[in-house]
Parts: sequence; C-alpha cells; structure tokens
Amino acid sequence: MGNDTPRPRDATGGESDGAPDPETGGDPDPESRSRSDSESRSRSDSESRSRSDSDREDLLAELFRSGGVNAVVAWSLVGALGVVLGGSLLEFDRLWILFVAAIGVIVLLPPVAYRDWRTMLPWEVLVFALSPVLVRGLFGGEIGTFAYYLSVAGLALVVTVELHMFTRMRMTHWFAVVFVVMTTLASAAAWAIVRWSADRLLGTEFLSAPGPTGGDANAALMTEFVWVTLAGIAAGLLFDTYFKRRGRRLGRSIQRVIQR
Amino acid sequence: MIRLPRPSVRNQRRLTRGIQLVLVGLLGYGVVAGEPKAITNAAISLLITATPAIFERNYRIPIDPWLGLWITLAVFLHTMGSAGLYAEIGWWDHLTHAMSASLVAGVGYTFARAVDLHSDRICLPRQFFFVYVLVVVLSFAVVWELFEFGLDVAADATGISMPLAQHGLDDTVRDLVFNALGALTVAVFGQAHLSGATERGLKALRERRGRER
Repeated sequence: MGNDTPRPRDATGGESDGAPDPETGGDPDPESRSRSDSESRSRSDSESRSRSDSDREDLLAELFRSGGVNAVVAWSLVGALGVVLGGSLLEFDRLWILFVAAIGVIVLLPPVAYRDWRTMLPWEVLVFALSPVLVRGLFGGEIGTFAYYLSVAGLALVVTVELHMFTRMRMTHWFAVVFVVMTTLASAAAWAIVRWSADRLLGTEFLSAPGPTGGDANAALMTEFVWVTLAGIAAGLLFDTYFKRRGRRLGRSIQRVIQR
Repeated sequence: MIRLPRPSVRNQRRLTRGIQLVLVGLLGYGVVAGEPKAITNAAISLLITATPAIFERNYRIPIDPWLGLWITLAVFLHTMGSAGLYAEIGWWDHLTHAMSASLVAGVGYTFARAVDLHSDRICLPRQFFFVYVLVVVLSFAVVWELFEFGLDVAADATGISMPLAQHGLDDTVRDLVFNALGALTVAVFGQAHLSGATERGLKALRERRGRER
C-alpha cells in the first residue's frame, strides 16, 4: 500500500507516503499548486504552527496519500459503491439511496478538493467503512448490527480526518479515537430516534414490530445498543493500533532519511 | 452569542438554599417513613448540590452561582420525580431528562474546551462544539439507557426493586429525544455561558499550582 520510499523532501514533513500537502505542494501540477497557495494564505498561521511541531502528530492528515496502487484499489471500491447506488435507484429504496449517496460524497471529497484522482483514503479504511454497504448491495445478504456499526465508526473516522484536513480543526490521535467511539454511540441514538419517528408518523415498523406492549421492542433496541457499544469500543481499539502502526512506520522512514 | 436571562446572585443563592432545605425535608421524611428510595435519592442529591461549594472552598475554583443553581435544580427535579411526581405527571420524566442531559452537555463542553485551551495540538473551532455537544450527550444517553436496562434485568433476576426502571420502547426513545433537546439548548446557549467558566477554572488551577511551588 502506498509508496514507502522516502524522498529527501519528506524529511521535514509528514509526507513520507507522498501524501499531498497544500503548503509544500506535493503536486507538480501548477494549477493546483497556485490554488493551494492561496488556500494556505487564507488558512493563516495556525497551520504552519501545527506543521512545525507536529511532524509525528499529524498522523490524521497522513491518512491521505497519493499512491497509485492505493488509488486504484480505492477507486474500484468507489466503482462498486456506484453499482450499489445504481441498484438502489432502480429499486427506489429511499433510505438506502440517501445512505449510499452520503457515503459517496464523504469518500470522494478528498480527490475532488485536491483535484487529483490519486488523493484517496487508504484502501484498508475504505474496505472497513464500505464493507456492509458492498456486501448488502452486491451480494444481497444482511450482516449483523455489530458489522454495521463498525462501519459507522469507520465513516466517523473518515469524517473526522476530513474535518482535520479541510477545516481549522486539529485533533490528536487520542482525541480522535475517543470522538469516533462517541460518534458511533451517538449515531445509534439518533438512528433510533429517526426510526421511532418514522414508525409513529409514517406507520413503518422499524422498531415497534415485535410486540404491542413495547417491552419486547425495548429489549430488542437495548440488545442493539449493546452491540453498538461493543462495536464502538472495538473500532476504537482497532483505530488506536492502526494509528500507532502508521506512526511507527512514519517514524522509521523519517529516521532513514535523517541517517542518509 | 445569545445569553439566557439570569436571576440576581442573591436570588440564586436563595433558590439554592431553598432547594437544599426541601431535600433535607425529604431526607427526614424518608427516615421517618422508612423509605430507602427517598433516603438514597435525597442524600445523593444533597451531596451533589454541595459540590459547587466544596469546589470553591477547597480548590478555590469560582463556580458561577448560576451553574450551581443549574446542578442543584437538575438533581432536585429528579428527586422530586422519584418521590412521586414521575408517576403523577407524565412529562416530569422529560423535564428531568432534558435537565440532566444539559448537565452532561455542560460537563462535556467544559472538558473539550479545557482540552482545547490546554493543548496546542488540539484546535476545536466553534462550529465543531455544536456537533461535539450533541455527540457527547447522545452517546452518554445510550450508555445511560443501557445502565437502566441492566438495572431492570438485575431487578428481574434478583427481585430487588431498583431506583430506576425503563418503561417500554416509547419511553426509552422519548428519553433520547429529550436528551437531545437538552443538548441542543446547551449547544445553542452554552458557548456564551460556559466558555468563561472553563477559563476561570483553568486560571484558578494554574494559580493554585503556582502557589504550591
């Protein structure tokens, strides 16, 4: 995955994987360079401050990289997502259309913003976040609550990383992990509210199917919440190790450049 | 920035004292009538209402009297609820959920703001706080409902009556809705009221550390 060979320029920054960077211009294309220059001016000095003291800390930004192999794998996943979207358009499954389209926007934001098709999320993160959609959309099977919310956590991570890239917001590794876990739980609560409202207003039976008393339905929702909590914690641990591994690899490649 | 109307400091103090008096009365009633539920609830509430004062005295962190009143009011409403108003008045539960959610939101907000001010590497823009407060409260709500559910399961298994219980799906989801409303209130008004509280707290802590050195 990606391009691990460090180049001399990378010794100063966190781009040992060749990740694009609006400041130093990891992109030879003059048009995008001028665009990113104006962007860097508007984004003031907070960026440069965070860059100077956070070569290792900017692991979140480091998640984006423009490796050819990564981009090809990532785009094939996006292609599969497009097929799923087409399928759900044919079936006119409104909830599913909305869901898949939203994921598509989130995933395609980096390459569109940097106008470079190679700037894609790491394919392993994409596989993680998209797997339930792809499995349901392409093979028709249903997967469990646990897997769904694992992928919700993956999407939350992607959104967090994008906030880190495109806004003034800066997060450290631990804060991002905690935030992603909380977002997973919160999305379960919000989703429960949405389904419950739909049950009452539109006469659907998302939550209230099991029994008229509400006791069984409540127990079912609570079981779901248990799975969500477990998925959130599992995702948090997984991201933690993932960040740490990437951090170590980045540290090693910086070391190699310094020794040269 | 929108600010909520606030009573004068003296009236805030009076209100807090009044609430504490009612709680003491409730505790006395619990002891006389032999109701363990009333005793535990009133005692815990009294302890919580005392925390702002303890913080001020022991750590010299000035607590906004309004904040103190807010905490006191939240526990008071809950205690009154379990003393009978939950059963009497249908919407009491919603009121307490919105109140306690706003407290959770306040704690979550203050924490993130402290992290934001304290760490150079973390920068949380104002717009982000809105989302953050909602996320904190809703995730806490899930944990809370699971806690209530766990108490229910334990009560069923052991036959011991628990101080909290769930009452079916509609009740649970309404809890979530009112938690979200409480969080929204804090997300809208909180920035104006709470940002000063965090800065004062951090400043007091720093001064205290300076004195100890």
